[in-house]
Formats: sequence, C-alpha cells, structure tokens
Amino acid sequence: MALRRSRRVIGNPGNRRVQLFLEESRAPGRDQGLAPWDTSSWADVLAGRIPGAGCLTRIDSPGEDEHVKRALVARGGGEPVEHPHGAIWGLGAAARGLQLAAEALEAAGHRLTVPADDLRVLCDKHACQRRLARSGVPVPQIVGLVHSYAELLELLHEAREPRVFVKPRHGSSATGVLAWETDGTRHQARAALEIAGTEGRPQLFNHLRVRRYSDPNTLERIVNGLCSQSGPGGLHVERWIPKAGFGGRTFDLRVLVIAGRARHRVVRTSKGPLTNLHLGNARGDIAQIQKHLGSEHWDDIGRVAEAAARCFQDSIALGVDVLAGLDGHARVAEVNAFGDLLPGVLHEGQSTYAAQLEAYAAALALA
Amino acid sequence: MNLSSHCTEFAGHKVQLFDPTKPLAGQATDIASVAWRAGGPFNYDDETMSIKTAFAALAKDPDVGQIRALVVGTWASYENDAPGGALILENAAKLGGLEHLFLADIVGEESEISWIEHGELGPLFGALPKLKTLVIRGGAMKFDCKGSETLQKLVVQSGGMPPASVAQLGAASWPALEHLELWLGTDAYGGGSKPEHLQGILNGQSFPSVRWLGLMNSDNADQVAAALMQSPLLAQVRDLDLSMGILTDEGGKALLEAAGSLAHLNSLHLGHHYFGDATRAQVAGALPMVRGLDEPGESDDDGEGGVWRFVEVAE
Repeated sequence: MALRRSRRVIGNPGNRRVQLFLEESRAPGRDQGLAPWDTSSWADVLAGRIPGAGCLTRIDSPGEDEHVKRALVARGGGEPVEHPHGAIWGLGAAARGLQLAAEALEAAGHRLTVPADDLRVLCDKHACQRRLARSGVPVPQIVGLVHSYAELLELLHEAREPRVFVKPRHGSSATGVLAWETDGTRHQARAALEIAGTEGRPQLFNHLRVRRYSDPNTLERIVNGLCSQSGPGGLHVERWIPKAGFGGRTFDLRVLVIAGRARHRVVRTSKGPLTNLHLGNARGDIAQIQKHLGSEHWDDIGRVAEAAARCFQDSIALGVDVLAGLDGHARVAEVNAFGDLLPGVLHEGQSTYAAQLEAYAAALALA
Repeated sequence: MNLSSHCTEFAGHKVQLFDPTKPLAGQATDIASVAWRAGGPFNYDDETMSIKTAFAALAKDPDVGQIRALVVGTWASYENDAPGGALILENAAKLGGLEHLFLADIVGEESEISWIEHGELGPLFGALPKLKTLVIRGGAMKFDCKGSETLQKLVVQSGGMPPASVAQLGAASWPALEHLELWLGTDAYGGGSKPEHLQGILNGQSFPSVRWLGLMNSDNADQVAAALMQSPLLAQVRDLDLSMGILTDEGGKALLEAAGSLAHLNSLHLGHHYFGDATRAQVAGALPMVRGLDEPGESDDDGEGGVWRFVEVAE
C-alpha cells in the first residue's frame, strides 16, 4: 500500500518549522500505523547527498541559516562569501540554488509538496505576479522590471506612477522591499533596511524598523545595491495599492490555502506601508477585522486566495498574502511556498501542520 | 478620527460618498443632514471618483446650496491636480450653505501627511460665510486672512505646520472660536513652531472664546508648555491637550510649577509623553485631571548611545 512507504521532510532540522511539523506528525491518533516522517537537511541535499525517494517529500524553508545560505548561493553559481549577520546578499543565486536542489530531488524520484516547476515561479515575484495576472487573479498592476536606479527613475517617469513597491525579484519576507513615492521631482523610499560600509562598497542590511530615505545618492546606492544582489533578475516594480486601515493601522492578510481551500488566516497590521510579522508589527484581531470588512469583502479575500492557489495546482499548501484595498477590492500581493509558519493559529480546530498532514494523506490516497 | 481609515462621521453627520453621476436630490432624503464626501478612493485608471469630477458635478447641481458638511478626498499631487482647497474656492459661491469642512480626509496609504500640500487657504474664511468647523490635514498651508466671525472649531492635523502659518493664525481674529487644535509638528517636515510663533495665540486677544486648546505633536513641547503656563490664554481654557509631542521632564516641571494655574481644567491630555518615573508620579499626584500618563512615547535606540524621540505624527 502506497501509504506504507516513507515520507520525508527536508528543511533545516534545528529550525522550529521542522520541529513544529514533526511534533504535529507525532500527535496521538495521527497517521495510524504509518512510519514516522524521515528528515533531511538542506545542507546534505545541497552537498549532493540526495536521500532516497519515498512517496512524498515535504520541502520547508531553507532560511535562517547562514551555512545553508552560502551552500544555496554556491549551488546557484554565486560566491559563497561569509557575510555579517543580516546582510542582504546573494538573493538571485540562492533562489537558483534552491531551484536546482528541488530539480535534483525530483530527478531522483521525489514527489515534492511544492513541485520544482511551481517553486521556480513562486520564488520569483515578477514571474509569479505575471502568472496570476494572466489567469485573471486580481493583483496590483505590474509597472515593470528594472536593473538599475537610472532604469527605475525612467520607468516611473514614463509610467507616471506616484507610488510603487520595488521588490527584489528573489528573496523572502520584506527583504529589500521599498515603498517608493514620488511627485515627479522628489523621490522617497521607506524600507526595513540600512546601509553600512564604505562609499565604494555599500552593504545593505535588513533592519528591524522601517526607515525612510530621500537623498538621491542614498537611493541610488540602495537600488543599485539591491540590483547587484538580485543576480540577473532585477527588481520587480508594481503599483502601490492603498490598503484598508483599522484602528489606526493598515493591514493585510496571510491566507493559507490547502488543497484548494482557504483555511487559516492571519492579519498582519502595521503603522506604515510594510506589513510583515518580522518587522515588529502586530497580529491583528481577526474577528474585529472580519467585522470591519464585512462578509462580502471577507469572502472575496478567500476567493482571491483560492484563485491564486489554482495557478499552482500541484502545490498542496500555499501561503497567499492578500491586500484588502481601500477601494474595497481584494488583491493578491504574493504567494509563498513556505508560508505556513503560523503558530497558534487554528482553522476548524486544526493547526496549519495538522491540516497539511491531512491533505498529504488525501493526496497520497488518490495516487 | 485616525490617519489610516477614512472617517465615517464628521461634525455629527454621517459621511456618505457623493455619486457624481446622479443628482444630489436622489442620494439622500435630507441633503443637509449628510456629510458629503467629494472624491472616492483614489483610482489611477478611472476619473469617475476623483475630486475634480465630484466638484464639477456639484457645481452644476441645483441642490448644492443645501450642503452643510463636506469631506474632501484625495487629489493626485503627481498630476498637479488642483488641490482640494482650490476646488472649494472655485465653487465657494455655490457652497454658501457650507458649515463644516474637512480638507482633506487622506489616509497614510494614499499619501503621507507631509506630502499633502495645501498652499494658501486664507481666502476660505471670507468665501464661506457660514463656516463653523474647519479640519485641515496636511502641510505647507498658509493663512493670509483676517480671521472669521463664525468659525467655532479649527483643527490642523499636520506633521509639520509651517511656523509662519501659526503666526498668521495668531494675527487674525476669531471671536467665535471655541476649539483650537494645532498639531505643530517637527521641523524635519516643515514644522517646529517655537513660543515666539505662538505669541499671537498665547496672548489670548485673538481667541476670546477658546475653551478647548490643543498645541500638540510638537518637537518643542517643553518650551510650548512653559510658554503656555505663563500666558493669559490659560485661564479661559477648560480642556488642554499637549499630547503627541516630545514632552520631557523639563515640560513636566513647568506643568508642576504651574499646578495652581491648571487646577481649573477639566482635562489635560499628555499622551505620548517622555516623562521619567519620578515626574510621572508627581504629575499624577499634583494634576488629577491628567490623561494619557499610561501611554508614553516610544524611543528609538540607535545602538550607538543615541536615543531618538519623535513626535507622534510626522510623515
């Protein structure tokens, strides 16, 4: 019986993502009679030690580990130089490294919970948004793709866009994301990053708080710095859609779509334009926001998230970031391959991991 | 009223979005009882809900004179669209019934408050003879005017109110004004008023009826507080708001030394203060009407031995 063959999770073993998942997999009553999940580390996989394929392989985030980051970059054809903690670097190469590792796993017979084909697009904000747009999923309008500060200014000038988000094409969370505004003459960017290092060799770092930059020289260093770390990919530029506010803060929602159905939702609130739980922003009270938005807008958010997930039909679970627009329309901001770290959040009594384990079992039973 | 959501109520009236494709008469049973919102959420691709379209429609509407309350939405500074104030002035003759004006209900996601540039607003007072309430949100405003016989409430929400504009208010005459609320702001965004800019206000002559006074969100909150304690205006005030600014132990000391002059107040708002524990305890003890002691301002440790303090609303 297919279910008796091994299942494996690949991640960074010490990371709580893997720990929480394994804990849930061992909960009493779960997966009766099945062997426990095997674990492999990204470090091993990237070193070429591909484990034997079972019936299903869950891939989890390779993030939050400097050694693995360097291994990803090396695999992706970049220079695995040691960088100070928090440095923004190797975004393009790391994405390429992860892609190659996923393809190697599939070549060895692994069935991945996020197939390599989906992963390639999910780890590329520009390609992802284009796929969603082509499929009719509401997204902020794509303004363009740029490879330098000069190109960005020209793009904004020609497009006459006063407010945009500039995002490194590859990279997680709010890494390197700029909330950019202009009146045609002056420019200003707010971002959770800072510049250190010398004039000739600026180094960009993640910063816990959002900072604002308006000096043109500084903006140039930031944008060109992000371009150089994005590999050939460049920076994705999209229209900044004003977000709905509540209680003095703006918010968006992370919706976990599992097996095509919108499940767990988390509201991320912020005093400024960047909503991300890592930036010290607070989780919102979901019931209050639901009431504030009203059932029509609330349902719309779920529908839009499910529509986005349908663009990646072979991925069992995806974390979809949805914007509740000030104009009452929901739009998808991003789709995350590893967006299920929502500890303490339940849907129909299940944690994100319990719900996925159930979906995995169903997917395998159908196989 | 907060800066991240559009208001649903203004001046005691429920806010309703004006549909520029239909006459006013069909949109409410009593036009005067609604606070009409001119301009919907900003839409790049569609001018239908722009304030330009809204005002063009209102100008032609036979019932526009019945409007008592108006909330103005956002305009696109990039497009060099006429700002809200200019559109009001253009149509002032038709808006003769206007008593309550909110210029403009723009939230952070639409524009930073410091990028909302109003320009010359002085002519508004003469052009709207029944104006009782004026709420302004933004910056770069000017008030070249003589004042108003009718205005009862003036609120300026800003991260940087030009000191010159503050002085202009002080030089004009506001005999009916009961509520004066100014978010003075920080000099980083064009604000930073000091006591010398507030002289015209503090000497009390221009504002004989003011009972509610807010000198808020100030970089120089300590100096402002100290100057206020010495001013003739204080005696007539019943509710005082000095919140949102950088009010430190120095400002606290000025308040404590003038505790006798503050005893008559119903309320004294000091939220977002930067008091140390000792000052906080003393203020709580000596000034029972104080509110907001439990909501101190945040500081930013720059990791290099510097601690940054901020006004609550700047950008």
